[in-house]
Amino acid sequence: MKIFRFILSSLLLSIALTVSAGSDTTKVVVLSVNDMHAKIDNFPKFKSLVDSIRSVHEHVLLFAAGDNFTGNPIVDQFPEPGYPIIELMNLTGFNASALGNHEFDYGQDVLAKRLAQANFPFLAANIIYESITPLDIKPFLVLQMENGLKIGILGLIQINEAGLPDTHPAKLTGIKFDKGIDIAPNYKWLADSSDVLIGLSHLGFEDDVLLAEQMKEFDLILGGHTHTMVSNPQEYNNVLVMQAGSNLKYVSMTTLNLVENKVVDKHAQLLNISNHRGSDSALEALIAGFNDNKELNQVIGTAVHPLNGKDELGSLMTDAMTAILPLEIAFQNNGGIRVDMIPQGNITIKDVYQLDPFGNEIIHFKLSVTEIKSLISNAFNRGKEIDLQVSGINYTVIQDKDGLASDIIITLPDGSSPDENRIFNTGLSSYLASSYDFDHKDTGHSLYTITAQALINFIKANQEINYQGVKRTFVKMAE
Amino acid sequence: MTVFVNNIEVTLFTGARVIDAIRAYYSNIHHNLPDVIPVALDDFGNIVEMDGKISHLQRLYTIDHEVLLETDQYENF
Repeated sequence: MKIFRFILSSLLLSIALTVSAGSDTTKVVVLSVNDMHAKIDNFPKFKSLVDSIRSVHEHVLLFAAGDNFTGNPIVDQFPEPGYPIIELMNLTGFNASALGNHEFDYGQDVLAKRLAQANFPFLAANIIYESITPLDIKPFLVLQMENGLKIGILGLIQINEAGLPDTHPAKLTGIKFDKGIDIAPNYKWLADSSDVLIGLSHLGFEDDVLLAEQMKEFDLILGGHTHTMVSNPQEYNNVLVMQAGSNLKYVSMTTLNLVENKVVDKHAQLLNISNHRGSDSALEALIAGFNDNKELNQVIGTAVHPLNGKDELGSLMTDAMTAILPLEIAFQNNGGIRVDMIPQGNITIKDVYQLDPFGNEIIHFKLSVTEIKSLISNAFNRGKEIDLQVSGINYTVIQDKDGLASDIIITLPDGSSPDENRIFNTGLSSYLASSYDFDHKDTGHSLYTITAQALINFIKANQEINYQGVKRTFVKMAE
Repeated sequence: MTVFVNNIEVTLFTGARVIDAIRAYYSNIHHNLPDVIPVALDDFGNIVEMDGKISHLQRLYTIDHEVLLETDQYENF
């Protein structure tokens, strides 16, 4: 039944692709992906799919709705971070990309180089430059097609409750941001200068719906950020809002029919890229070259002695977290330490990703001593054993006759007891922060740095890594 | 920030993703995270992927994969 439906839907799609609208109707096909997060392996199928659509349609546009970078060590650790995805986007023929929050992850200097290498513009209207040379990012673009049709595209980038895109704040020096949804109405005039107005948004689906409800001038909003799979496309205030999941698994295909340069009909669907049978062989070869990334074998430091067991490895991992300002204390759960040892000798980037493969971000909490004790105690009681490795303090769990923690004794590295009234800047992995139960008044915020990257930076900075015999967590039976 | 999973209020750090909300939800109702993590839907009935970003006051709903696959709308996913 499923195969029959697939064949039927493929047939209907091919009919839709080949039957043109009436002679006075212009059809524009708009393809969009979002949140590719540097996932390059599907590009050969994706390009083949795009090319096949271009072969049957005269007017095809291709957009990305931001977050092209970050999420694949092959691309993130490339000698020129992010370059592979830009080259693949160039070869596939993108018309424009929204600027996503993760476009800043490699830093502004790297971003400026990637922008210069892109054959297409990056768009974001809600950026305000303060003290730096503006990046080559435009607020909007008006594309004029061969038949004279004008397509206006307005770019918008997400900001969080702190008024910044979700990336490490240090990457945003000299730049301020307005709320995209507040700025967009300033560009209503674009609708008068264009036959079609598209919002290329990295605001997230909920905000895209709000944007549609406040700005009926848009014909279509192509969104990203929330990794939403819009399998049942809807119009809000007559604006079609689309988003295609993430990681280049899907592409949204929107068909706009225009009569006398006015959109009279629009419909959209998600295409599953894996279902496409074709593949671009030139891109396959190129990606095979990217995947053979020698950078992952790059030696970033040396283990003076083997790093054995959870205590030594966990101490290294948490020290890497407290090397990030303003963290003073950090915790790592044993389950997140994915190798038993790192042998004596060279440490490579690949070793780090094997030790810490999950891509968890570091979350900053301001915690009191009592709150830290509640974290340690609750973690211990999950399995009646030490579960959290630590940096910045040592601790001893006093275990009662039932095996549960009855008290926690904390000492600072110099052996003294911490001031019970002090608040500590404490780092937890996002896994720990969301799945462990503990008392905390501060709800925390992400530092938008993954734990593996912190570890790479720490090992590079310290070079000689020696944790022989390091142990910071203890258990003692209650007397 | 506050989000709602299956109408249960969950408090999360700024910058949290869907997977964080799902983990926090199971922690909140004192259940272990299932081996097969359920699919998350947003308030509009769209599937949201586990690494998707969430925002303050967002509502998410979980649904088992088997139940989802019985729905024509999601058949190809």
